[in-house]
Amino acid sequence: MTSGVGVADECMTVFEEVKMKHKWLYIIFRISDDLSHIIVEEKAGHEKTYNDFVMQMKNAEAKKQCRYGVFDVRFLQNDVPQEKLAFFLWSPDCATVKQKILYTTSLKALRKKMEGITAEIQCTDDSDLTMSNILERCCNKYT
Amino acid sequence: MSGGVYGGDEVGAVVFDIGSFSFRAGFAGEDTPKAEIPTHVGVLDDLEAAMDTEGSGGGLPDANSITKKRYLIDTVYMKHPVKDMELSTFLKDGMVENWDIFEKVMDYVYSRSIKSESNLHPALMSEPAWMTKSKREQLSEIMFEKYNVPAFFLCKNPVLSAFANGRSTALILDSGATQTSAVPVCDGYVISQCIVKSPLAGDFVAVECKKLMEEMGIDIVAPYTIASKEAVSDGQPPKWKKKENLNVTKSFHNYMVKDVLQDFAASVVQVSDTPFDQGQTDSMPTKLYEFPHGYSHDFGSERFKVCEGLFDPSFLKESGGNSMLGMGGVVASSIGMCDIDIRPSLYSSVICVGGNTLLEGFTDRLNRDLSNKTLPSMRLKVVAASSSSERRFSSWIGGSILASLGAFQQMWVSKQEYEEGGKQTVERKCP
Repeated sequence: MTSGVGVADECMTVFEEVKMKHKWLYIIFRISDDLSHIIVEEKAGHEKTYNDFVMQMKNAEAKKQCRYGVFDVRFLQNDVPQEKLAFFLWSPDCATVKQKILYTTSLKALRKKMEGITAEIQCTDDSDLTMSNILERCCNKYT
Repeated sequence: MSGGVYGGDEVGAVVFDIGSFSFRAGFAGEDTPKAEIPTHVGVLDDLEAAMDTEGSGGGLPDANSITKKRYLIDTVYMKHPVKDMELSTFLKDGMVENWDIFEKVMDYVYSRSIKSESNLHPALMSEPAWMTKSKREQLSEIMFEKYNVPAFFLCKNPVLSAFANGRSTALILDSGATQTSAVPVCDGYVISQCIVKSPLAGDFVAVECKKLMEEMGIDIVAPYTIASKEAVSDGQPPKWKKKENLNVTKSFHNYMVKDVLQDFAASVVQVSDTPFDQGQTDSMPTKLYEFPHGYSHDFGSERFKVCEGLFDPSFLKESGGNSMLGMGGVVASSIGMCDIDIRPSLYSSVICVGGNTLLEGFTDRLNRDLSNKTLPSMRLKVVAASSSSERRFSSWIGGSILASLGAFQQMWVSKQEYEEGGKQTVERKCP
């Protein structure tokens, strides 16, 4: 079941830039105010850190809203550098029910256009957003 | 795409959610349903009405009109003692079984609760996860052919509950009146082969309360039998007079007694945090309950004992108890059947919905039982909406928001599509 909310072309362009060229560290998506399309809220260059990403998510939480995010995770596993894309559904517990339904039902429209995501992480509280949880999910398949 | 069919954003859709205890109906976009009416209806063999139809029709009496039935719907009519009225329900295992009564209830809801014509409002209906294909087709046939709805949509209850809690992957523990079910939802789809059901639910708690009353020698007197009563102090025998010549049926009496027991369960019964231990619960605060006939009693450890069977079926005296699954068991066995990759995500989103989960201490005990069943490394999160209306109506609220979204209009099965594609259209558009 999907909500019928569309995906703006810009989302895919930016996603390809992350995937192919690693141009951005992370992208945050949101649903436009008229509830018709998923649009890019922020694309962050490599001068930013994961903490900035979390900060943006917390800002959305303060507005009782949800967000989608894509993060280019880089880490060393057994001394081998890894580059993985993680997809986030951020639906904080305090968000309004309408926001939660909008973002969960529209998720599929965005996800099915994105190929090459290693981990899809459903986050509802701070413990889901910790770096250790993200790394665990990204590594899982290799151990 | 039929996105242009409905012009503006406001479609005025109607949302229906049918549970084994009550039927919820209301307009999309609102926070709570307009009407919540009992799923049970009173059925009367109505000779008078049969006479009337003969008179107005001017024809000869025939066999059909003699067995004509009158249906008494909604709390006000149904909970009133009427001679020879049988109470029955149109549901079985969460699915509509008796379509005649179902249509009568729908007629009632449209005329008295919605107060509008059915052909003006798209209808969104929730259904249990195990609804069969033939029932869905029959339901959509009735909605399109009899009620002429302009558009229709069917959604699965657990999916709506998961979405309303902000998750597309979750395990929904729905403990209602007649049964408890654990349904895994993954990426917005129900994993139907992993559904686990148990009869330990609200009605079971009511039965246990009844047994307790029998043991303690307290009679349960339904309010409808009481003619008058006098106030007595705590623990004193009640002083009340019984109404005579009621001539009600057994099904009505049982329903009314259950009503008292449900109230008792909601106000007195509490789930113990740890497996029931007489010594420990003796020290817990007691609760005073006044029965409808005026007798009041202080309940101590009994109020923990009656619902212990929900979590630990081996606690039940009957030999059958051991084969049933408690709340933790239902959740664990459902997750255990799922693919190992999604188990962590399910354990981190166990969502409790349904009226029975409102028992005091329900979620705390579930959390405790599940953490004993899982590895310490597993992240466990039991989620329950804090307000009681959100928990009882979680799927209705989910449907209400979904149906009010402008973008969702293109997802409806329109009347035109139904006419072109037949009843299979619903199967195709509402997964």
